[in-house]
Amino acid sequence: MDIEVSDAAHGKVILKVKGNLDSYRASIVFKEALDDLYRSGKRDVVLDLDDVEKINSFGTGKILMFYRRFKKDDGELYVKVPLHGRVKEVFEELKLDKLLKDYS
Amino acid sequence: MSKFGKFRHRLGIFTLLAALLSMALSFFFSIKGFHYPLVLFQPVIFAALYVTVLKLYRSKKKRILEGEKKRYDILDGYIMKIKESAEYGINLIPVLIKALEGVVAQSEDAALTIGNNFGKIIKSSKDGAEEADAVVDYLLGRNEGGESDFGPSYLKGILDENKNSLKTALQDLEKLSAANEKFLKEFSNISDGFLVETHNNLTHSISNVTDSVNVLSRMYNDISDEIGAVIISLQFQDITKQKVEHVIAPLLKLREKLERVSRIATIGDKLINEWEAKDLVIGDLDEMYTMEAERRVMNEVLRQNAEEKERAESKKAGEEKAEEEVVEKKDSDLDDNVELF
Repeated sequence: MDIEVSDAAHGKVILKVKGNLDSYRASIVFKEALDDLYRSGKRDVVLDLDDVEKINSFGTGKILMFYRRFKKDDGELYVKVPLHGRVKEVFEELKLDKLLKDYS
Repeated sequence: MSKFGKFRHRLGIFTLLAALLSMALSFFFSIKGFHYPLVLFQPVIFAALYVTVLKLYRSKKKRILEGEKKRYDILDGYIMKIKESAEYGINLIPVLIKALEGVVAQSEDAALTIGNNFGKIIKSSKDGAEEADAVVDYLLGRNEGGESDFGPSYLKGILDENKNSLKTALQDLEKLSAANEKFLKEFSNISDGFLVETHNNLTHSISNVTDSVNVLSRMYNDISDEIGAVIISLQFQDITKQKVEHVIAPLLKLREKLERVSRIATIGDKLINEWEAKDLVIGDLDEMYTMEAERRVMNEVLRQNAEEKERAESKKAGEEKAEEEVVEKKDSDLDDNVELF
């Protein structure tokens, strides 16, 4: 699994995930990427999950964890819309699509 | 000039003077008509005396020097052993210090590795606790009654949705079954009671689940704290380092002292070498005063004595001739007064 980080408008940072977020190893890489951004002072992060086909509790747990962490520091975790496939289903089932603000 | 040389010089002069005095006395007595029978051997006797005294002196001196040399040899042996031991220590101490520093470095590396690994475990534990707490908070809501970071919980939303759906369904049923008001009323009471009870039971169960997950989260945090305590206890490394430094410091001082000992031993060794050089000079002197040299000295004495004797004899012969002439004249003059000594 690969992760790309790029700057976006208004101080936001886009974190593009390439690969599935359905394993312990992938979740560690994802968490370290988010942790690096957090420690570097970024507080508004956009998740780009266009290239993610599968996601489960390994991925959603990290999303919830960093959502709360950024929120506590007056930041925000966004998700790039529209979502597709299984990722969209999981987000809707867990109501994460309502929790995370849209970024388009 | 060396002491031995001075002695030899003085002895030579003394012997020469004694020989000359003896020759003079012999000559004097010969004039008086008294012939010393050993006069011809006097130079030989004095030369032999000179050589004997010289030999005795040299022999004594040699014994003294040999005794000194023996003592110096023993001393030199001790000094060399001290020097060897000191140099062994001087060379060994840096090796020991390096080994101790290696131990410190190795234990530092080990402590660092352990610390890093524990640090990773702590981070994983904390992250795990944070993630579990976030998931529970989101899905089930806060059990302590505090405000959730996620707003109303996911489960509450689902329950509310279900409750609303059921209520809508009941309302629809109520409209459809208006004819049988009594049945509907009873059904509605039963449904409301059933729904409330079910909702309460579900909430209670969720509360239990939340409690259990919170306990797990706290355990995660406790593990993190305990591992943190382990990392603090890894400060033993500093104590070890300090203790090793306390060993290294006296070792360095010992090395300084051994270097001083080595320097002193070197000076001692140098003195011994100087003495040995002196010994060589004595050896040279010995060589210088071999029998050949002594023979030369003796020949010189004999030569001087022979010249002196020749001079004395010629003088004596002249005097005897004059004396005979006087006697002859006296005899001829019939003078019976013969003047003797």
